[in-house]
Amino acid sequence: MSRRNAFLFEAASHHDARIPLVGHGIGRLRASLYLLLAVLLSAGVILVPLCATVVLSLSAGPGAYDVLLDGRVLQSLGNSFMWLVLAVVVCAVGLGLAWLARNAGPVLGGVLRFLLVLPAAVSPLTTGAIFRLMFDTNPRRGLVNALFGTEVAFLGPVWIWLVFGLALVWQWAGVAFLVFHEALARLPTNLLRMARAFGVGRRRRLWSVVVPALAGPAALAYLFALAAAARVFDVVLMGAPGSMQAEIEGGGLFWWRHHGDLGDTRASALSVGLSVLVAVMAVPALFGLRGRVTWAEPVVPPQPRKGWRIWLLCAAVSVLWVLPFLVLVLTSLRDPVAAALSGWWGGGPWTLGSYTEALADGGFAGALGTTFLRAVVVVCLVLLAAVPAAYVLAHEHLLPRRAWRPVLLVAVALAVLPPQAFAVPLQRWLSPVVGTAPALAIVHAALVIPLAVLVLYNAFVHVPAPMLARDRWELFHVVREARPALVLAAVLAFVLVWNDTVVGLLLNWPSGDHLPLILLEQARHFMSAAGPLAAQSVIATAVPVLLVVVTGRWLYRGLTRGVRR
Amino acid sequence: MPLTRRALLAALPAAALAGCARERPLQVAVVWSGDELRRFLGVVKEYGRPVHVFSAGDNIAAVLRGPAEEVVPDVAVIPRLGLLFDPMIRPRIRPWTGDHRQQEFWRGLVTPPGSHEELGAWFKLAHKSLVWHRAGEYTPPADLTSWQPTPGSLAIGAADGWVLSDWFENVLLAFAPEVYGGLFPPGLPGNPDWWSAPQVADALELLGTIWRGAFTPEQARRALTMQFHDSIFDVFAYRTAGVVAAPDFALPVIEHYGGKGVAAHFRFPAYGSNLPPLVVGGDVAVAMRAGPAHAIDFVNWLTRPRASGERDALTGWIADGGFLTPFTPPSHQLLRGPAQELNAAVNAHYDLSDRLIGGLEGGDGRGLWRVLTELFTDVAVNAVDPATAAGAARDKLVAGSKEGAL
Repeated sequence: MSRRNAFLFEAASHHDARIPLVGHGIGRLRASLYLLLAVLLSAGVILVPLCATVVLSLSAGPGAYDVLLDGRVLQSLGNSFMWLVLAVVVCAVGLGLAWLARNAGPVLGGVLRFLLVLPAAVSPLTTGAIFRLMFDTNPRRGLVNALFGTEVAFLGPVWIWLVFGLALVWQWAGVAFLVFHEALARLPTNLLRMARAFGVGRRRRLWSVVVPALAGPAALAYLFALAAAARVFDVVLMGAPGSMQAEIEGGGLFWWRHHGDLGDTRASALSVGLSVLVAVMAVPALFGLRGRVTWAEPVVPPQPRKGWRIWLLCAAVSVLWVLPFLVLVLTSLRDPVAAALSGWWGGGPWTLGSYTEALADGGFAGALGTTFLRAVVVVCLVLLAAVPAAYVLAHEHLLPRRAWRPVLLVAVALAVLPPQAFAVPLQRWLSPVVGTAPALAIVHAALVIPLAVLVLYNAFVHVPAPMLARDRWELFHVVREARPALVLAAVLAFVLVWNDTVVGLLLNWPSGDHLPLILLEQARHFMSAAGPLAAQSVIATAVPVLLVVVTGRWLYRGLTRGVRR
Repeated sequence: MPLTRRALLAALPAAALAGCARERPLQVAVVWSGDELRRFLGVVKEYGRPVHVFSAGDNIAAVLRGPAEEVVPDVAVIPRLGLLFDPMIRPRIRPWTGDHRQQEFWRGLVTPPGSHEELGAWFKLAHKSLVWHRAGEYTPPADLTSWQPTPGSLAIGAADGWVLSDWFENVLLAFAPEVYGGLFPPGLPGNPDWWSAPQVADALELLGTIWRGAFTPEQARRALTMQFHDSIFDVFAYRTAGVVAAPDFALPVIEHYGGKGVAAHFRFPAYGSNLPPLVVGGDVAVAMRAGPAHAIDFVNWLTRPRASGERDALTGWIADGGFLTPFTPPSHQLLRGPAQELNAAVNAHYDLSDRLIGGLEGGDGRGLWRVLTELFTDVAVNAVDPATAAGAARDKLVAGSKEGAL
């Protein structure tokens, strides 16, 4: 799952049909206390540093913005733009697959949904490793070159965009698929039937019924993909050979490499420039969000269509989406020397040698424990802050209805922005405690809280009115009813911390005990470490994937409705 | 379920507290990963007190410069000499007070200009002016100008910036040792004005000419995706290329993947009547002021000379190759010569890219590495004239050497 998923439901103002509860609130003071932790954390870690970044970039006059005209900076911002354009491709693939699979029926649809969404739980670091293995130049090792009998430098100039485009699609198209699949199941079929009966042409029907109905979901899917593309960082660090990284690195990665040389003001100017670029690219989504997105039950359950085409489609998509996992697992099961020199289709010796080697020095095993503990602590912190905040926002009328739109926009902006956008002041303020475990947990938690509040808020407002017996235990009733959303928020927080590389590199480099940072070390000698790297990646991927598998039903319910049914 | 939620919640703080009870292990930061890290852990295990080793990788600079004193390691083993003299890092280093005496050349490298204190002790040395090939299958060239590898015969791991910078350093030191010496004169502060010397452009052009002749554009594209180890595979495992320029620590990789007894090497060719270049590297162990006083003892213990006949994890590492030290001669036939050359240190200079800090500091996609990657792409992939490409590269180097340049 991704943090993007959270916006799946509720992107338009919520129509509250309940009897207004006037005078039964918990009081403004207590309500503010409920909000305190969430507001403190997200303001302290995100909002205030963001404002400080803008101030810092202007502190020496607008001259700092000259940095945006430097050739290498322009190249990296151009690359960022390319990545954001790839987000459109991701959405298009998601829409195409959803359209083809619109009549797949509940079983096939469920299988597709599961397989397509699963890569979103994989860390981008692992994705980079998998695609680098598959597209290796040498046909003895690279699957694609072996299949086509060529020796194309896929990871070399120009071609590398194809590899990373495919990696982005593999990882995120499933989320877009999920959104569009749900939306297509809820097309206003009656309206379409009526239009057809009145002789409205096919094109006209498309423009006046289907497109407006899909605009909202499309905007959501685009936002998720945009957030993924704006945060592209570790996939490049792991997946691209060192010589090629400058060719495809976006502004975020460039910022990380050069912020020391740039100095604070110019590094801040670059952060602001990058944020503006992302914001501009997000504008079309805001137009789309004016349409309503509601997730009512589908009027007519889709008729499963039997036919060889749909089976063929499902088989092809399944093979394509499972293949990268397969490559990783098979590589990890080979002898380390064989894995370095040849591809897995070369056969054995099949051993657990790579796993032994991966666990040999103890650093990896230690990091597994530390990272797990850190993720659990962050989940607790996030729920502790987000549950009361979401509850108060959902059930106390602290804000007039029309004030909701800006709040929503701010939350969306916070979820989309890469941490580099506000890292300069954050690094400075954290410097006395940087590298300590509590500091890192707090930063992680603060980054997830806006998202968790959104997820929980959307579920809490859906808790049926009769449950709202206003007493002191009401919060617990609401939480119990909205359990799926609670699980969703917890899993999101866990997976984001478990897979994080950026925050670790920006704010926690000294401790070196975070799992992805240990994986990243293997990129120094990528191919000769292929076996142990694959083994470590399999272990690191198994945890979030298992979590998603175990909680899958809850997550789906949390995404589409958020309330126990 | 045997583990209740309550028990789990109670166990979390207990586990956190348990960590505080024991003696705090010495924090040692290194940059190795994989096999080298395992070897180092084996060495450290023989130290009597608890030691925690962690690999900071390419982030070692950020670790040592980090704003928070508490998280700076107690001991660091640094492969980048420039970091010792970084204005942020140098005051944090506790000068070395050991009883064993290092070789004059190597002492000079760790002594700041105008000072007599050595900042650290050498743990590992590297000889970076070697060219490896399969034994009996390659004739060493007479000198650098006559060395024109045919397309496909030379393997370069151009994906790793340090491989390209080692090439540049060897060519520069062979062609114009005075520039190399001018940039970092022994015992004096460095002088970046030398970057604009005409010899730099000439050396870059010579380098570009060799690279251009050694690759077709398609081969060069492939080379850009190959790392250091891949280039060794090409010569010794797949046998698709004939020769690779690589440091002494290529030997264990060759023997691991290509078999024992297959390799031979020669010195990086000299230019005309100049002395052959000797680019050296090495890892220096330093104790940090923030750490406990016994951190120096650890550095002493780590870098101490071994008596002849003494056997421990380090001598085992030396015997297996891939590790040269100032004191213990290697037993491997192929490494004895390079080890003697390191001790004699004739026309020797420390790896340039590892001495640079600031705008030209190395790293993927930045500094000298990036300039050389672009030079390689220009001459070998895009077939730009070497003189033109060298001029452009020189301009980037001059711009990068100016403080705060970007």
